[in-house]
Amino acid sequence: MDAIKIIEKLAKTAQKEKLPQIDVSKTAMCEIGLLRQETTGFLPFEWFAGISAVAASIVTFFSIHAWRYIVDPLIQLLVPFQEILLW
Amino acid sequence: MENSDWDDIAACLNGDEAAYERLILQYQEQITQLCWRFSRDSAVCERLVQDTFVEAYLSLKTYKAKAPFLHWLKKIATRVGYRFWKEQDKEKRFLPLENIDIAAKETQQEIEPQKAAEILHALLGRLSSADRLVLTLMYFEDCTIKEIAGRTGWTRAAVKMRAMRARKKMKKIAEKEKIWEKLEWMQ
Repeated sequence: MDAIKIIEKLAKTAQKEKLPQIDVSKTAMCEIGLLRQETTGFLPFEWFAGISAVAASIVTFFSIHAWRYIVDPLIQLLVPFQEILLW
Repeated sequence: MENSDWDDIAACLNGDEAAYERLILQYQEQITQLCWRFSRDSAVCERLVQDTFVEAYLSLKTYKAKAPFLHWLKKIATRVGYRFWKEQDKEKRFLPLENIDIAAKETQQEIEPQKAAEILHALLGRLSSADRLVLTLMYFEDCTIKEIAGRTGWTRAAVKMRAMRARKKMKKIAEKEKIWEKLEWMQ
């Protein structure tokens, strides 16, 4: 008999196998509860990160506006002498 | 999908844990059946079933209800089991067939389902994780190529090719182990 045929026959028989009775409802819910607790523990950090991001955005916004008015102090020093004739 | 399932899923998404416990109680038997194909150790099987339900809970928001809830759970269980096998692959341990007492022709006309499952599990254990997964779903779960592709996320062509190669390898292993001599009486 072909080995594959035997294997297929074994598989058909194996499908009738009695399975162990397993109840994971309590343990799974317990693990889910623990995972949820861990997630809530991270919430203050998320808030802190969010507030920091908002503050950084405000500072960046004003910085861009301020950048336009920033001038080089060296140029400022030479501005009064621009009209002077050298010879 | 059953209405009660959808009600429980909706309740669960709103934070009702008792609803999820009801879903576990409803489907744990079918998931145990699938996980038992990945490990015949009760403790490991229990861990796999538990991991399946925990993973399902964490990704419940992504469930689109296009297929029955059980199909979705089985997809997760297959992924959990496959991951377990990949971890086991590193150790490369398998049960020698000599350790399994194969029933003799004279004593029995039909092999016990548990013994048949043990032999098949040991034989499949000699294959790589991917080959083993395809044949396990094919033989134990009676899955079609389309269903296997759906569960694994592989293409149908890839599953078909893998199944063909895996069967060839399995045949070689069975011949090497002289399985047909031991089970000749099954003809």
